[in-house]
Amino acid sequence: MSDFFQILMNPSLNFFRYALIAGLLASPAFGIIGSFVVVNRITYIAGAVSHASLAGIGIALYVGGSPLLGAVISAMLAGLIISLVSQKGVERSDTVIGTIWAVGMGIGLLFINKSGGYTDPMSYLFGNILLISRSDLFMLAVLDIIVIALGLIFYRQFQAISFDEEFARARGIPTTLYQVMMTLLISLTVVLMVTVVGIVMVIALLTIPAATASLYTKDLKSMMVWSALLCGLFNILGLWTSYSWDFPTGATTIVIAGLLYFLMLPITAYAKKKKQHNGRKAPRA
Amino acid sequence: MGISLQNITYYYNNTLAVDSISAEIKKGEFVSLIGPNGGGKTTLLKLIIGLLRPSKGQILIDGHLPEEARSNIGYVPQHANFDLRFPITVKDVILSGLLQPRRLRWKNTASESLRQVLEMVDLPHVQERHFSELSGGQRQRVLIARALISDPDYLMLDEPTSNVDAVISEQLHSLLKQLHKDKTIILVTHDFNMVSSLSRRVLCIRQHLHEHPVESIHNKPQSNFYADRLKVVRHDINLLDSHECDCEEHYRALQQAHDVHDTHDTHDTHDTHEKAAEKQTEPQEKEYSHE
Repeated sequence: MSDFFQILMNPSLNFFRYALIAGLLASPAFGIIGSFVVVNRITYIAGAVSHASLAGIGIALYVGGSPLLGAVISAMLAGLIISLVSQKGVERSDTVIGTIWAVGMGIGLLFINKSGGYTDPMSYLFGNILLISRSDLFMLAVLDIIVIALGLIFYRQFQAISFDEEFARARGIPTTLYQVMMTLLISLTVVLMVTVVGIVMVIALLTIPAATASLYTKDLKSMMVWSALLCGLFNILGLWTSYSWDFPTGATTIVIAGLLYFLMLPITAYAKKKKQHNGRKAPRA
Repeated sequence: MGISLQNITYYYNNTLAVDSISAEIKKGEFVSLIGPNGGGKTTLLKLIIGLLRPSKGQILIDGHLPEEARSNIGYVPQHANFDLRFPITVKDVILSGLLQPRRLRWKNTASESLRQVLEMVDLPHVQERHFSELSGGQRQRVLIARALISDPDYLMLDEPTSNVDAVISEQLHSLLKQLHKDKTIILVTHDFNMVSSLSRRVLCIRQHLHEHPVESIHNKPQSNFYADRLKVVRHDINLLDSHECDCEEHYRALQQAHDVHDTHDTHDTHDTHEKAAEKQTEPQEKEYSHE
């Protein structure tokens, strides 16, 4: 453990410190957006958007543009299409999501293959948190500010459309606008995180901490806070374990998060059962 | 003033859902919308609320379009449609009834309004509890509290007694009776106890609208919940026989359901009359069940 802290403090090993800071900076955005993803049951949208971003990355590499810009454009476009199709019901949304997922990835791999130089598609799929730069940290901080600000300002509206969209509409809330805003926010978070930690880790950190938090929280706000804290914890544990055992950091973080989630499932189920049992035994007031 | 339905037609995916419906609902009335499943009851309610726009015709609420009158309408959807794993407290569910298009925060009086509506629905100590921890009847009352917190003049409920037992149904019945003192209520229901004892008017929807007087229903005795309901149904069939509409078929199908459920309760008092009614309605019931 002391070795771990020594490395963190070592000025010549910035990459390690940056990885830890990135993990902690990513946590609020993952906590807030991940909670929306889990309660709305739209993990598959995050999956489709993240894979569709590969199309933008591939095209950008082919034309010599910025992969990040390409990823942002393609992910936002994918998010917008999915959101509008789901709202209007013109086509089965799962079909459209699956198509965008697969075609986005296909286009990305085609263009990466035809672009000059050597680019490993695996680096975009799995990322490497140890290769994070100072500018990546700045980008994560800006993303946090955007997500936290919009999450706080429109919390009531997002909560209402997630819980009972029809009632929100009956109150005159422009639900389509908020749905699109939420999907674009998810897309932005996914795509910026993809360029930093890779697609698989994005899906894992969007869903697993929020799903774990949902097991023992009773409102959306506390779910977001706990989800962010868990995400930070998983990142620290992942980094420490990967350093101690010489494992790949991203994969280690995902496995730790998954293990804790599966461990919590029976524990919370037992606790709820016990609570119900005690509730039945308690004398009525 | 009140609600004016002017020749309303609505197509759902090219299928006619409601056809040329006109009606006037005055302020202070308690109106029940009944009819067979798929007849257009909920569609009409959603048109009145402004969740759907009529393909033809116009709806005016106090002289305004439904979209402009939303702040004056409390809506209670069917509670069975909720995701009970959604992390939300009772307090947050009810406060969402204060949402407005151009307001991001509640007024300072929100806490006081919350306390008042919780007392009104007789759930004063549940605001910090998870919504899913409540019983079906409590959840339904929370949804009514959510509709009431903005203090609307109009309260519209979509089958509030579906999926709840007789005891909870009776509790809701009392609550609606109390609310009717200062609210105009439109109720979509299959619950004949509510229709009979609360409504002044019954609108039967089966694409078209047929209106029935219910004066005689109000005279029913209150001694036995199930038996009374049967009497109401039977009485209504007689009443409806004199009208040329499809409602009769709907009533008879409902009656059959009640008969199966309540044979034990009603056997002694209605035996002769019941057999006669069953004999008369059997073919139509079968036809209805194939719909």
